[in-house]
Parts: sequence; C-alpha cells; structure tokens
Amino acid sequence: MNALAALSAGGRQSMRLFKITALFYAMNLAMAAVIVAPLAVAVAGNLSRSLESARLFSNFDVGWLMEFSYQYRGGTAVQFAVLTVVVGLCSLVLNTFLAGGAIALFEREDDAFFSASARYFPRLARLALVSLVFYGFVAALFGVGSRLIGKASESSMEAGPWIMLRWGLIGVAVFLAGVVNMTFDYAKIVLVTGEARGAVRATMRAAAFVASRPARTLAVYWICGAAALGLLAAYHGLSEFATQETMTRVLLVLVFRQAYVLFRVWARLWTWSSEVHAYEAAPLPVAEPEPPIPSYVDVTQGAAADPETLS
Amino acid sequence: MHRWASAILLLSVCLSGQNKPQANYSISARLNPTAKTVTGRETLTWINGSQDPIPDLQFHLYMNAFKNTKSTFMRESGGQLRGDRFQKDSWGYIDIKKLAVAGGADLTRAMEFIAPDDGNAEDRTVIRVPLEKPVPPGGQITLEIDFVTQFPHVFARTGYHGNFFLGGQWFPKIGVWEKAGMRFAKTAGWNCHQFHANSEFYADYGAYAVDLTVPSEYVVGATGIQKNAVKNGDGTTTYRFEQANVHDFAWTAQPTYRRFTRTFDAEREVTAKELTDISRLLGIPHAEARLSNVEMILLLQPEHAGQAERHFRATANAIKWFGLWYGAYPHATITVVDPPNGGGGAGGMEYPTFITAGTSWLQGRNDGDPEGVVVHEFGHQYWQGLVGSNEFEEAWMDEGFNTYSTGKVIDRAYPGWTLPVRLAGIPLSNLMRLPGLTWESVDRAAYLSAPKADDLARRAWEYQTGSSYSLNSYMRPGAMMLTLENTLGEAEMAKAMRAYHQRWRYDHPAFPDFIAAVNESTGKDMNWFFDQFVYSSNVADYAVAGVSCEPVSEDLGVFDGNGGRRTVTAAEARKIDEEREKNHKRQWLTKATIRREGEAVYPVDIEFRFENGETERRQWDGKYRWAKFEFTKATKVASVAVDPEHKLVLDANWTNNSWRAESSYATAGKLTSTVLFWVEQVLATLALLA
Ligand SMILES: [Zn+2]
Repeated sequence: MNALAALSAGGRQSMRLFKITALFYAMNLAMAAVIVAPLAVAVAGNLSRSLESARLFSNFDVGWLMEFSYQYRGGTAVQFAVLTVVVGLCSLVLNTFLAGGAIALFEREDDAFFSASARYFPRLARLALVSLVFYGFVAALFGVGSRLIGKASESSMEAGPWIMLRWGLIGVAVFLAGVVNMTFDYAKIVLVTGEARGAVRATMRAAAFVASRPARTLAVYWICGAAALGLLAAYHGLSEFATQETMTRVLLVLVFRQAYVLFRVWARLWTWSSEVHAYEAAPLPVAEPEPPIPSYVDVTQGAAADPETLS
Repeated sequence: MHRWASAILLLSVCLSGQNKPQANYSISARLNPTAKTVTGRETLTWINGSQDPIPDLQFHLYMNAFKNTKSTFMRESGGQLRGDRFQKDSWGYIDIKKLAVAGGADLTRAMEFIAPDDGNAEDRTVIRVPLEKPVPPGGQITLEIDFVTQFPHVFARTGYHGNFFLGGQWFPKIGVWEKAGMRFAKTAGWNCHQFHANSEFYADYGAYAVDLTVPSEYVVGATGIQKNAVKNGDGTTTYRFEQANVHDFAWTAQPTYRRFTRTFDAEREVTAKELTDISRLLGIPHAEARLSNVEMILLLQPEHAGQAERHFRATANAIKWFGLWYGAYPHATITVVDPPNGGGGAGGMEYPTFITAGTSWLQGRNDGDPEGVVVHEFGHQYWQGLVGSNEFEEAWMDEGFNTYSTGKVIDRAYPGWTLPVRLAGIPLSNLMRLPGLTWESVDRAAYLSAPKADDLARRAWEYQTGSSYSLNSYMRPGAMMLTLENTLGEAEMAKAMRAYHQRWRYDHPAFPDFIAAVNESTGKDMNWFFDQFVYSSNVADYAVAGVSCEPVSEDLGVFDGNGGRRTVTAAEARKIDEEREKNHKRQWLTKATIRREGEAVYPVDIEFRFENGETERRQWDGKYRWAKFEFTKATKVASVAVDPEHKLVLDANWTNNSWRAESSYATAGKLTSTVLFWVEQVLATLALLA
C-alpha cells in the first residue's frame, strides 16, 4: 500500500469512526472550558453591569485588561496559573488514555474503545515519557543552534542573514520534531498490535520501520501535516470575514472556530489511521515472537516491559 | 575652531543682545576607527549671563560613566539599560590632556573630580576647575581643551559596533550656572549632575562648529548643517558641521550607511485647511502658524533601505504637527540615524537636529515602529532641544510632555497602529489580527501596572526602581497631560502648550514655570490639578457605589389640608397606586451613590440615563468620600455613569465608573469565545505529545 492509498484508507476510516474525533474534541473542549470558566465568570462579573461592556464590545481596550488583571493580581493570579498547568497535564494524560482506544479501533474496528484505552494506557504512558527524551533532544539542539546564531548575530551589523538562518534552524527543528512525533506514532501502533510491549523496544521497532520505509512514512505524516496547515490557512483566510459586531455574529464566529478545532483534531486522528494502514500493509517481520500478555500485567506490573520477567 | 569662526560666533552672540549664558564650542576631532578613539581639541567660549562673579567651572565628562564598575552610572544600571547589556571589557572613558585659559593659565593640574549627587568618590563624570580669577558678571572666558575619548562598545546610547560609530556625550561639556532664583536654585551655583542611568541632558545653548576627520570611506552625519567636506590627501576627509542655538552636538559615521535626503516642503505638507484650523484653534494669524522647509537626512542601514519612505513620512508628520502646535521647527536640518543590528543601544535617542531611531529587518505594515520612535525622538527637538528643561531633575518634562505630544501625532497620522509582535523576525501583528491601539490606551495601561509606585515628580535617579522611573517619566505624565487636556478643553490646552513652548524656547524652565504658563494662558488656577497628579502618588478612582430604583407609593396616614383632615388607608393607597400603574402614571424614585474610592480629588460629571430616553447630568466637586443623587420620574433609571467621557484618564478603574440596570454578557461572551479558542489551540498542540 503506498502513501496515498494509506491516506485515503485512513481518511475513510477516520470519517467512518468520526465519533472518535468527536470524543477527542469534546475532551479538548472540556479541558479548555475548565481553564476558561473562572476567567469567564470573572469577566462577566466585572463587566456585565458596567457601561464599559458596551464600549469594549466594539473597541477592545488594553487599559481594561490592565484594570482587570490589577484587580486579580497576587494570589488569584497564582491560583489561575496553577490551574492552567494542572489542566494542561491532565489533558496530556487524557489524550494518552484516549490514544490507545483510537489506535486500537483503527486497527480493529470491532474493539471496545474504552476498554482498549484502559488496556493500553500504562504502556502508552511509559512510551510518552520515553518520547520526552527525544523531544528534549530536539529542543536542546534547537536551543544550542539558536544560541550560536544569537551570538554570531550580536557581533554582526546585519540582522537579515541571521534571521534567515534561524528560519532554517526552525525548519530543521520542526522536521526533526515531526520525525520523532511520527516515530512515536508507529511505536504506539507497535504497542497496540502487541508486537512489542516495552516502550523502548517498541520505539526501536518503530524506528526500524520508519528507517526501512522512509519515503512512505514521511509522505503519510507530512501530507497530513500539510493538510493541517492548509486547514489553518483556510481558517485564517476565512476569519478575515469573521467580524463580531453583533451578538449573532459572535455566535457564528464561535461555531466557525469550533468547527476549525474539530477539524484540527480530526486531522490528527486521520494521521493515526493512515499510519495504522501504512504499518499494517507492510509490517516488519516479527523477529522474536513475544509471549501473549496476561491482561492484568500492564496495570499492576511495571516490570512487564521486560518479557523475561514474565516467563 | 579657527579663530575667525570663533570671532564670528561671538559677534553673533553680542548682536543677539541676549544676556543669557552661552556656551559656544569649536571642536576639531579625528576618529581613529581601529582604536575606537576620538582625539579632539575644543575651544569653548562661555559667557557668564549672571550677575555673579564665577570662581570655578564645572564640566560633564560623561564618557567616564563607562570607565569601570565603580561609576555611578554602572552602579545604578548594573551594566544593563534600555534592553541592552554592557559588553565585557569594552570600557569607555575620556581623558583631558590639557585644559587652559586661551592665552592664559594652564588649569590642567587644578582639575578635580567631584560627585555632587551621591558623593561617589569613584565617579569621574564631573570635574571642577578653579579659576585663577573669576569670570565677572556678563564677562566671558575662552578655554582650550585637548581630550581623547575612548568609545565603549555601544551600550547606553553612545559608542561603536563594528565600523559604526555614534558620538554622543563625547566631549567635555560645561554645566549650567544657575543664578539664585533660577529654577529651584536658592543660591547661585553650578547645576552639573553626574551621569546617571536614567538621565541625559541639561546644558546651555550655544553655537557649535565641529570639524570631524574620518577615513574617507565613512559616511558621516551630525548635528547641524554640513558646511563642507575636504579630502585631506591622507585617505581622510574632514567634514565641517555648524549649528547655532543648540545645547549638544552628536555625530555618527559608518562606511555602509545608505544616505537619503528630502526636503520637508511646508507649502505642500500643510494644506490650507489645516493651516486655517490651527490658526483658529490657537487664535493666531496664518502667518504665525506657517512652517518652514527642513532638509530631512536619513542614514539607514543597507538592509533597511526599503524603509526610507516610512522614515521620511514619520519625520515629515512630526515636523508638521509639532510645528503647527508649538511653533515652526527653527533649524534647517534634521538627521535621522538608523543604528545597525547589534548597535541598538544607540537607537531611540535625541540630540539637537540629530536623532537615532531603530527598526527591524522585516517590519509589519501597522507596527508602531519605526514611526513611533521617529516621531518621539523628533518630538524631543521641542521638549528638550528647544525647551531645555532639566532632564536630571524633571525627566517627565521632556519624556512625559513628549509622550503626550508623540501620542497625538501618532494617533492622528497612524490610526490603528499595533504593537510590533514578532516571532523569529517575522512580524505577526497583522497575521494575528491584533486590535489597533491608541497612545492614550497604552499610556493608561502602563500607568495601571503600578499606579502609586512614586510621586510623578522626582529626580531621575531617585525613583524606587528603574521601571518606576520609566512609568513616571513617560506614560504616567502622558496620561496626566491627556487628563489636563480633557480638563481644560482642546483649544485651551493647545494655547497653553504653545504659550509655554514659545516662552521657554532656548531657556531652562522648571515645572512651576509650566504651571504658571498654564494658569496664565487659561486664566484659571490649576495648581490643585498638579498637586494631585504630579506632586503626589495619590490614585484617582471614582465609582458608582450603588443605585436603586423603587416605585413611588401613595403616602399613608392622616393629612391636614385646606379642605380639612384626610386619612389615607393602606387599602386606598394600594388602589391609587394600582390605578396609576394601569394608566402608566407611576412615578419611580432613583437613588444613586457615587464614591471617591481613590485619594486624588477631581471634579466629575455624573450622567443618569432613563428608560424613556431622558438624561440628567450633575456635577460633583468630587471632594468628600461620597455624594448621593435622587430623581423622581415617570420612568426607571437605565444607567448611571460618573465621568462618562473618561476625562480622567488617570482613573484607576473605569469599569466601576458606571452601572447599568440590565446586565449585558455580550462582551464577556465575545472575550470568552476568543480565549476559549486559543486555549483549545494550545491544548490541541500539547496533545501532539500524547
Ligand atoms: Zn524620549
């Protein structure tokens, strides 16, 4: 199966299983709402009985923002920052949880979503931790490159060449982060198909898969990425007309924006589904078949990552 | 200076008939771009405009601020200023090799360093030179000074970067002799402050003639008019610049500058209608409002050459509006310098007829810069260059007045400008569709970040923190001046500002002089205003504390009248009320309490709007903590607003200034929808890690 066939199969499947997209979207919305709700209540309390609300509706005033934050400075602001960080982490954990169900269903549509989520969560969580090492490596590479460019540009009389060099660095960093992201997508698939259970082993196997089929895997991933960027460009182009002079238009813009978020979430699931198809069409030969996994092991035994301890 | 030039300068001083002190400089200086030094010979003729015999002289040697970490400047700034950092081991200093009275005594050995502000014995930025015989009242003295200036890597405004040089504060400059009663001087004496982190200028006016010798490949710009350029045959060229009626001289040199010139054509730039409007506003004849032509010179970095038009437009807008409001720009040239990448510490500075701006390689269409910085630095030609207030002691009188004036130009010429937001050098303001800003909103927003950090009026180095200095020298006085304008009205304010500017052109006012100019021009006593908002840190905050609106019921009880005694029972009263209700004749009693939550006092208007469209307006002197208002009308109250036009820009909370009967969640909904969208975006991006 070539990249386009995988993408097309992935597209069809992700649309067929659109409820998964809806679920991811709903979770993302709910998490965002937890952060935004106290803010919304505070703003409504601040403005609803003031004529400032009418003035600000048509002309946003940065002075009001300062007034508002001045009233909520100190403890309240710290509480809000803590809430934001906690919700961000929760969202990461929940996404990891749902990822197991999504990939399992893309692999075998008759699987039960939530039980699959629960089944694969511990493995995927460990995998996510392993992936942080690689993302960290890319970030460090970017940091070092950025610092070198910064140092060199300091002594230069021109900014332009260094800015362009920085674009190049960003391009490389984004590409590398994409490769890491893609490799760990395949590692998730490897874990879900059960070809490996240890996070490290799954990563190695996914890396081997990517290395053996670079054109196909990169094409699948970056075509989805380009589609997501295209979606962003379309959103941006259309939002030119999304003015909010009336309450009706505010609601229309809300719907429009939420539609964009929904499709952004879908693009991610389309990527996964396409990657599952790409992987299944030509999996690596299973080198050493691993013993079947007792269903309880994952949840209770961290050592399950090492197959030796199981026998 | 050649002797004949010196004589001409002196003659011009005598002919002008002024008895003001004058400091006339003739300097010949040679740049050594390899050693980053300037070797100079300065002939200073200083005229004692006072009735005091003057026993000694004091000079600024500002380059010594960068001599070591013990200087007052380095101690105050910690080697960091205006977003820039001192480059290790690139010390700057100035050595006086010889200081002598022309044709008289050599005073080199008599020089001593003094530290009048903080007693820092290690500071080398001010010297005192005792004279063998005093300068008599109305007399003059000519000194010959040989000096060598070592430039630091550009840090605080001056220095080098690569082969870029910005010569600011680079020569020995005499202080200001203040006679008793001048500004804040109780007794006569020198006003010659050390160089601090947050202060720049205070000097006497005079005529400058400077011969600057640089390698011939360098492009040069400087204060004043370039009179000639002579190739010396040794690979160097000597440029001569002359300028009268200025209090400083700065120059720049860089081989790769792109030089552009254009004439500000007053006839073309100012329309007949604009001239009529301004003469009407100020009550002056057309001829007095008319502007003169100015030669605009841009020295841009090659990579910013494409932004020449933006620089020209901004300069022309500034020449036009400052000129129309305060009086025509009197000099023949204005040079706008664009420092290179890495030389940003030299950007955003003002010297007479010579300013430095700053821009980026890619600049967004609506980004507030370079226009903001060009207009602001040009504005200093008026508030600092022409009206020479003391920036050490009253920084807000140039930075603050200029923030106010700059804002008026920018908001008029560039409506909808945005803050320049950029990522990896790419301007994002347009892409992100950031809302357009007004200068007023930015001034007020900045002020609200720390509304009572300090009194507005402090000496530049005596604010609690560097950020309090900035706030109280720029944005808060900007908001204060807007409040003053709203209080006086546009025309009165414009007249007062022009009167003040004209009265103090080429002179040294203190803030009481500004107050006097305002009081005289408006015929009002505005001291109460300045006491509140300049000489105190009191915050203003007026609020609608409570509003009630109840139906008026028929009175109950026993009433004696001409027709005898009448008793109204509860049942009767209810019936009467019901009848009125049915006929829409019911009366409503509205009660509103307005409070002064802040400490500052300001008279305010209060506007009451009613459901039937009626409005009522009341005035309150704002003095006591609260005031109550009552209305009985056949309609319910819809809203109450204190200071509805937001005249009091310094009010720390505009949201509590009004009350509305009906809640409105439209704005909260709109903002929430936007914030929700962005949080969703962030979380969805974060989810890529899962
Ligand atoms: Zn300024």
